Amino acid sequence: MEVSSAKKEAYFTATQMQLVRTRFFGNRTAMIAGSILLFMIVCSLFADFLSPYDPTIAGRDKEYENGAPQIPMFWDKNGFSPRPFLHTLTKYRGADTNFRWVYKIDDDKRRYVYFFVKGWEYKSLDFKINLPGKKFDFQFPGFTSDRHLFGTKEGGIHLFGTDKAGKDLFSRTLSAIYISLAVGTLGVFISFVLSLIIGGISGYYGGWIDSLLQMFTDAIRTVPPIPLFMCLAAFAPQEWSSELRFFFISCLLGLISWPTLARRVRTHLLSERSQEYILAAQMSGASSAHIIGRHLLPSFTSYIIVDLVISFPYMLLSETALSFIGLGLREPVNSLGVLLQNATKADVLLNYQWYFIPVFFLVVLILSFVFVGDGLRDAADPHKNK
Amino acid sequence: MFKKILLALVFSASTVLWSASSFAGGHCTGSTMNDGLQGGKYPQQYELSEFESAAGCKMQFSENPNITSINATIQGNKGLAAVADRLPDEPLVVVPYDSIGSYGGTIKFLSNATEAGTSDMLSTRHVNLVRFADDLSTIVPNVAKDYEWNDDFTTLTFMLRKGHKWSNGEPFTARDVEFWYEDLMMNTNIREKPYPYLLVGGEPMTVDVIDDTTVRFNLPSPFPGLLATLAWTYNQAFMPAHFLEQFHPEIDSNADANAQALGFEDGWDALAAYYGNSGWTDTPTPMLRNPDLVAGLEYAAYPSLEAYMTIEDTTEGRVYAANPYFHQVDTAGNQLPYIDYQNERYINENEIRLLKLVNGEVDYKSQSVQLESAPQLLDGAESGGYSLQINPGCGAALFSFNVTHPDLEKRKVYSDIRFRQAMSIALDRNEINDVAYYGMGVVEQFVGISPAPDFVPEEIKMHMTQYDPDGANALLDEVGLKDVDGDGFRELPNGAPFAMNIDYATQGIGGVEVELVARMWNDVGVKTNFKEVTPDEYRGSQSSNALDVHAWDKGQPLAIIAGNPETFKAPFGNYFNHTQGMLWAAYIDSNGTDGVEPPQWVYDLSDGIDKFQSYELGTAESNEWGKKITTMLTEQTLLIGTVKAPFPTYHRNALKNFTQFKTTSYEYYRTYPYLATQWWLDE
Amino acid sequence: MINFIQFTVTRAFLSIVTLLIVCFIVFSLMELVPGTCAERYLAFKNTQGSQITFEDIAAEEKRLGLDKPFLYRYTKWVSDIVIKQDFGDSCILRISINELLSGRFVLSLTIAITALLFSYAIAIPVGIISATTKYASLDNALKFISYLGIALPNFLVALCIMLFMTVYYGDTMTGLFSQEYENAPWSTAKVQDFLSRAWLPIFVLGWNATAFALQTVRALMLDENDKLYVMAARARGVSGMSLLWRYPAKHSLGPVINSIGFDLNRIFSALPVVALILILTEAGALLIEALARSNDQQLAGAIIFLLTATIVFVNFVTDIILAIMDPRIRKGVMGGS
Repeated sequence: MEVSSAKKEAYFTATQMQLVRTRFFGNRTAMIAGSILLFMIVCSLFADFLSPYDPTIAGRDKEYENGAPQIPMFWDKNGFSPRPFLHTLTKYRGADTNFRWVYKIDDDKRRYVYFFVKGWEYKSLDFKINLPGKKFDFQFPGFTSDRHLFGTKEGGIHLFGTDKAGKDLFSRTLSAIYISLAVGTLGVFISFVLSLIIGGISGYYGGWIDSLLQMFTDAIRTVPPIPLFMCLAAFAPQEWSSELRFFFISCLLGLISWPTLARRVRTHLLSERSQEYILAAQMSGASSAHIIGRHLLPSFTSYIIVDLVISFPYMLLSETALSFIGLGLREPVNSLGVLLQNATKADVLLNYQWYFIPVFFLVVLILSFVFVGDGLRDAADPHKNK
Repeated sequence: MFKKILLALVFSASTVLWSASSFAGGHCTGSTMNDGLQGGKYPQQYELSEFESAAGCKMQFSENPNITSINATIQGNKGLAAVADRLPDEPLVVVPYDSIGSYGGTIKFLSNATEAGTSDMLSTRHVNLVRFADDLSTIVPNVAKDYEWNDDFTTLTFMLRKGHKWSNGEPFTARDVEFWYEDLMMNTNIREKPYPYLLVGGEPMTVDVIDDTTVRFNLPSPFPGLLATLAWTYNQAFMPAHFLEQFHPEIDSNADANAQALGFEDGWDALAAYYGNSGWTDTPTPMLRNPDLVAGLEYAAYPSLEAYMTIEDTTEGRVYAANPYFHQVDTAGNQLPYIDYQNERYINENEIRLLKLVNGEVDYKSQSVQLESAPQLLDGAESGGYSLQINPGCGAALFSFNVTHPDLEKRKVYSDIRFRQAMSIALDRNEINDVAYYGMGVVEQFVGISPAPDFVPEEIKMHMTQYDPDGANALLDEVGLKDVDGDGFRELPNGAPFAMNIDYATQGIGGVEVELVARMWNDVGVKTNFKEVTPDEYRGSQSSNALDVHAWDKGQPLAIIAGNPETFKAPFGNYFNHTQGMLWAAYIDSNGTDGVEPPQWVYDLSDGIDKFQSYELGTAESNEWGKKITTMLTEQTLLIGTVKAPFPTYHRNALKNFTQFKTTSYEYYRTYPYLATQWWLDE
Repeated sequence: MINFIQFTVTRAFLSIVTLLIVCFIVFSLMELVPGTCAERYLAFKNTQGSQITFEDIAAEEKRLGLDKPFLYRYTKWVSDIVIKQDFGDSCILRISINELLSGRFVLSLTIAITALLFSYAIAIPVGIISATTKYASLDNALKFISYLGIALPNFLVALCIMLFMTVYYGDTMTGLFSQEYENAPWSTAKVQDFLSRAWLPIFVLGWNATAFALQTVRALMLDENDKLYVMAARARGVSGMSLLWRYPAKHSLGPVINSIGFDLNRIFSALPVVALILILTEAGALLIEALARSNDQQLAGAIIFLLTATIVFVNFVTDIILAIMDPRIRKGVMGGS
């Protein structure tokens, strides 16, 4: 095949990162998954702006409990309108409805949807870390705003419907994605740090330190993770604030998952450390820390990145399972697992199917991570001869 | 007096009507309440002679065609004699509600776990000396044939039935009643602390055997409530002396040897294995507790007078078989019960129980079915082939704070009446009613007697029920709970972080209400979490003084309070329901050597209830004392009520002779007033 | 041969050490839960009318040995398990744990192993097909279905299927046995009954496990397929099934066997929540009850120990099998690290 010499030139002189990037961009599935993932991440970062209602109980709509999703329309029997609108609803309940709320639609009264409306107040980029002990408290005031992308002047607009207390599911889903991603990120980060340290020491020094650490790692790996989680999660005292609990759960996730990555790090280090370039560095008098940090670790950054991305979905799933049982995060911090707790009743399956919408998002989130991870791994693998 | 005249009139009128309507001279054919049959001296039932003379017919008895095979499943039972010989000489003739039933079938029940959520099922086979009729005010005999008070309510005499036999065929006599009270209930090896409702003003009674069929209770002081107690209590006032005496070390000198021969440690251990040392009849039988010993025992469960005998007992459930010696018959002479077996399964998951109910896999249930599940149940009623009654209850959801909490800082806060008042007015009861009870309830404070009788002043009934979050915040500030670190939640007066946990079980209170209450307390700055636990876990923690907030429904009607002082004496309840002030109770019981000294009002209240119970209900003194004790209790705001709501009762349409319950409640012992023994399955 | 025995012994020793470490972790966790067995037990006695004083609680603690130091109790717990196979009594249920668990754990194992076999039965042929097929769309479709198995939380799948069956077929698919067979001795009818209900948890857990196994098999097949020796065989004229089977598949098997232990680990991890939802009377559901609902440390500790011991044992066995099958492994371990 005729390939221009310039391209060939570019290929042979490219750095590893550039190679990986090119290969990744060429992988269509991975690109699609990646863009979906990016979109969801961006949406979750702007969750408060995009949500017409406060996702906690304070934002509940008493007039629309267990309400079906409301999709704004442009056209009804009274004609077309460029501005989307909804009909007005009144609620009714009695013995004839088996005490369920039923909503009567008045299709002559329109409620228009406005953009960039004023709504509930929220803060962005404010950090208030409230760890035990006053010394560790850290506060950054952040920005307060009350503008939202869309909203209505009277009544509510609930794109995904509402739950039993009237909380808007759309807002809750957005904030749940944010929380789940945050928990996962923190967990992955902790797992990463731990595995680097332990795997690094283990792989670099070898010998009996290695054997000892390996036995310890293997022991932890053998215990089924979810039962271990549950045991540990049961210890969080109830006095802890929800932020602290959040932090605690992420730590747990990280603590349980470092063994796999640590093993990878250690194996790689074991094989690499007898390479000549390491020997050379040692003979020139470089310290161990220098060798590990400057030479060994960068040699398999791509593996690390791939592993981190691949382990992310499992963090998500573990957190979901934990919160589902009630041992993970709790109101008012809501993650996808907390949302699922309410979706597990037969009543819901029969009558309020929109409670399952967050499941769809969870699945899409996980699938996109998996495909992106796959794509990265394919791209970073030097043995692939495509 | 007027009531008696009315009864007599009704009796004669209905007898005339009935005799004129349907009977073939000779054998008695069955008539039912639908046919206008009202009962003899007592409503809905007759004594045999009463019935035969009124109907002018001779009763001929028949039995369940399957009774021999049923009998074979009961370990230790010998072959059966003819039904006329198995019944007492004078069986109780029960008038069925709608129809004479057909024999056969297995009725399916659901409970939560061993000894949890089972009282519903227990009540279907329960018998006692007397019972409340379904008007919940007349007390009628059951095992006893009749009863008689003396003039000043200090002796209560019961006439028993001649020829009444235990489920193994052995004779039932007055000795069995004496044995139960004096040798079991009052024996400190069986129960260290006797049940308060079996004492009169804190003092024990004595039981005399006048002859085989007459037994007398001698009371140290007037106590008219005793009769009502025997009508509603789960505690059966008799135990098989002929069988258990051999294991009782204070009666039989060989008791220990007898017990050890069968594999028990000693006589007390054998008694505990059979009797469970509890008035409850669902304590584990040897089949569950000592399964390896069962094969060598004569009986796998102690002989009983109930309608059904336990034949299988595992951690998954129990199976019961009809008692071939049961003392009730219907108006056509058929020995009750109609249904062959009862099958009770344990499921601790509320959602799964609901699923089974919706699917029509259960025949009857009301306990642990909360009103919040009504829509789901109503939806499926037609396709599932069942009906849902929504009846008033007696109890209502109740919260209280642990005034003897192990953490001294918390104890100070919870003991402060201002804190309790604040938490009471922080609740928006109308919202709770709206969301949790579909607007069907009534906002009311807990006054100790539920429904609140007329002598309770209106302002006491509504004490601290207003929704006043500002007032709550002010009171909390006064108590010293300030938010020092600005996180929106208050800290304890000494600065330590403060959070309350509500552990609750769906058997005792609905989750929706707990969630709402937690939110309302969070809104006034008191950090509150909530978690669902099993009833066992709740009871264990409550009893070991480990909880912050107690949450379980509570509320006994006037007739019960007349006999049971529980609600007004620390710990204001018993292990199985809502208690408070565990360490106060410990102090009182141990005479000051243990526990924490209670405030003076606890002693005053205890004296007050004793006084109240010494007067007959309805008299001026009774009302006055009633007003005093309810006011005293409510003003302390120790037990915080929210909304008094109705409760659902579920039964499958194939279950016949099921009547409309007047209340769905534990207090009158669930199905016991409504003649569960005449239910039958139409399939 | 000596080498092999030496290898086996070393492996066995390492397994035991791993188990001891796990024991230690589990026991420490049990200790950290607040509240003691003594209080719970006495709370129960309260129902029998006993008065409970603080001396009673202290005396009960002494009787249960709760006042002894940590190390002593730990050693006693371990030795009880090893020598007497006695896990003690459950705090909350007041029944001997052995009795509670014996039948149940066997059921858990059966479900888990069946799910595992089910997953391999599907993953291996499908993985091979996926790796060697010419049709990219088939490959993508299979990948997608298998990834769905990972992405969908299995408890949710179990729940939805169960609710669906209940609502539309009127049969609550809960429990492992219908009532008649619950306490009956094992027979073909009982096995049939068991299968008619156990298919749901097996399917749900198996789908999850299949996804992982599929990925592994597929990746390995792809790798091996490109290796030189396969090309050489193809050049020599070997083709079709025998090409597949005699060369790459056999070598892919090694890592698959290696991962049996961890596949089982994952299934054990997922089993409790699924079992809880389906009300399966087996050990996993009991574990969640013990941890999340009733704080029953004894029971939870015992169950976690059993699960882990099984995995350690399975790892040990697979290591031996691998060593028999693949001399590289043997050399690798024995030759020192």
